[in-house]
Amino acid sequence: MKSKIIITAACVILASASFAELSGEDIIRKVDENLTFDSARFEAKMIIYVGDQVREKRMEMYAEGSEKSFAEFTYPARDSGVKYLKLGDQMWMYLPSVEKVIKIAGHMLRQSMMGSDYSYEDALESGELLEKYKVTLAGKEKIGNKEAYVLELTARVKDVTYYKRKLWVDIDTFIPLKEELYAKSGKLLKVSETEKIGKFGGRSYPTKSVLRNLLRKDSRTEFIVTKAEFDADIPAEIFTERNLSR
Amino acid sequence: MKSRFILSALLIFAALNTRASAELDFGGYYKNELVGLSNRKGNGILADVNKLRLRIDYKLADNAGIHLEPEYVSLIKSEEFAILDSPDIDRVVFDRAYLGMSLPFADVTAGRQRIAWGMAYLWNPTDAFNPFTLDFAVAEEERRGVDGVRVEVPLGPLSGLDIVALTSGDLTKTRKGIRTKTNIGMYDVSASYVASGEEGSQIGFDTSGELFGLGVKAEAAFAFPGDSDDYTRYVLGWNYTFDNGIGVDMEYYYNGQDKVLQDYMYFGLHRLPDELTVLRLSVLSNMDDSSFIVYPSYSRNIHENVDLSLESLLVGGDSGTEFNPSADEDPTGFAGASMVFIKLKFSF
Repeated sequence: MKSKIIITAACVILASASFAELSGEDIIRKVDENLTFDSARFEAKMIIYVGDQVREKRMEMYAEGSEKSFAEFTYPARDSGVKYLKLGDQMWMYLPSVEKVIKIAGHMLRQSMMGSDYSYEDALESGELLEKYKVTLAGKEKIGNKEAYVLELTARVKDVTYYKRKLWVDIDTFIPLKEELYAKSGKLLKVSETEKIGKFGGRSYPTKSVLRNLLRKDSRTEFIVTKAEFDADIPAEIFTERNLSR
Repeated sequence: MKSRFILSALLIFAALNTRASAELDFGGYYKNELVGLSNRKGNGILADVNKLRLRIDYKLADNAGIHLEPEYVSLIKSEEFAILDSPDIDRVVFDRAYLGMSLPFADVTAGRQRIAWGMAYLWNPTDAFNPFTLDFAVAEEERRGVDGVRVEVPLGPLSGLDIVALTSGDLTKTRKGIRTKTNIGMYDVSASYVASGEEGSQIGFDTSGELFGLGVKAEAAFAFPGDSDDYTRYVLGWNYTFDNGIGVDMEYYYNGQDKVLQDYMYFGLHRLPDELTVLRLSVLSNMDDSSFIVYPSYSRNIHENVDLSLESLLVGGDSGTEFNPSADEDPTGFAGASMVFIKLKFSF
């Protein structure tokens, strides 16, 4: 009996010690490490729910780190051939109907991307949270049956889309399970939830997430990764304007 | 005749080059437009425009292919009139028909194609090959193709040279141009030069980027016609999206080519009440004679590949102005007519 008490006490001490060792910033760094990669190729689909209407859009995506990405929509026919290129914090779009590359700049980035709950700004966001936000570890909570760190992020710079963010990070995989995005007024704008996490070799990666734009009535967008290949060999010319208009 | 010969030769060459990797990709759309209009004589007219446009890609090799866009348009109407900027109302055209080839140092496109120069939204003074036409809003989604050879040489991820020569007419007189483009800071910038034989030449500059949270665009063309005075055309534009999702676009266009009607303004508002619906209001105004066009539209994606839109083109201003001509200027009474459209488009 005595030995059980000692073991339990030791576990509690160890667990709290490991919890104490990780600061909010450490956890964000681990999230970044998990979600960023040298290169990756994805096949994905967005399922957009608007009331009782459902629209599916499929795409092929390529990414190099968090700075370069390229996406081409392949389904449905009305959106087929629409392409996006992101380089750093700039973005371009190719519309096959007008055969023209368009730079998406300024507050145009706030607009909905392909009719989804995601905005262009959401798509542009890269792993710079620590540069833009002050992070506080608020504790631990259960999300479903998973234990999660709760982090509160407050903007340190003016030029951010969301002034405050609240993040629930899985303590095992360091994948964000849920995120709430707030305006400066404190109004909750969007909620994102990770519903599935896939294993790709030794890497855990979210394969199904749901985003709700609360400024829209009865709307949500599921983002589902149907195929993922990490550390893929991607030709440099993928991330060029030339590739947009081809 | 010469261009047809070149085009035919290219297509025959491409067809003969039947490599094992040949692959066909097929898409397009069918669109029905019901048009109601009331002309200046007070006659109400109904018309129904059917448009079938195919997009066919035939891959000849990993780096080469043929792209064709045949288009069939027919018009069923209650009275004879020319609404489609074309005397043909039952026609098939190959609006795009080109051979494309990707070489390690360049992309080469030869045949009928769209050459889209300029970064401004509505008017593109630097676009010497597919310039602005008002029928963009009335009947055409695509700008008409031109016959030419184009060589695009990449010089970096966002930089490159674009060299174009039209193949219609005498090569010494035909239009040729070169454009260079790059990205500096948050701005795309480009410079171009176009030589049009006896019609003179043009130098152009355009840019697009961000300034204090606004999306901004500017484009200018300096024309040297040779047989008349030099003139300048330029566009200044900006866009902004408010927190409530309403987007605003504005463009000012100065057309120095015309001695009287030089100043134009475009104002556009758009909002997506939900992910499937777009509301737009566009106003195009001639600031010198105060005539204008108002173009409200509602469009909804009613099924995966089906879009329905209700649109209207309303013309205003004094009689005898650019957008509202007098009976002397347009005896048909159709120019300046207000119109209502119901459009149904099925993409495949």
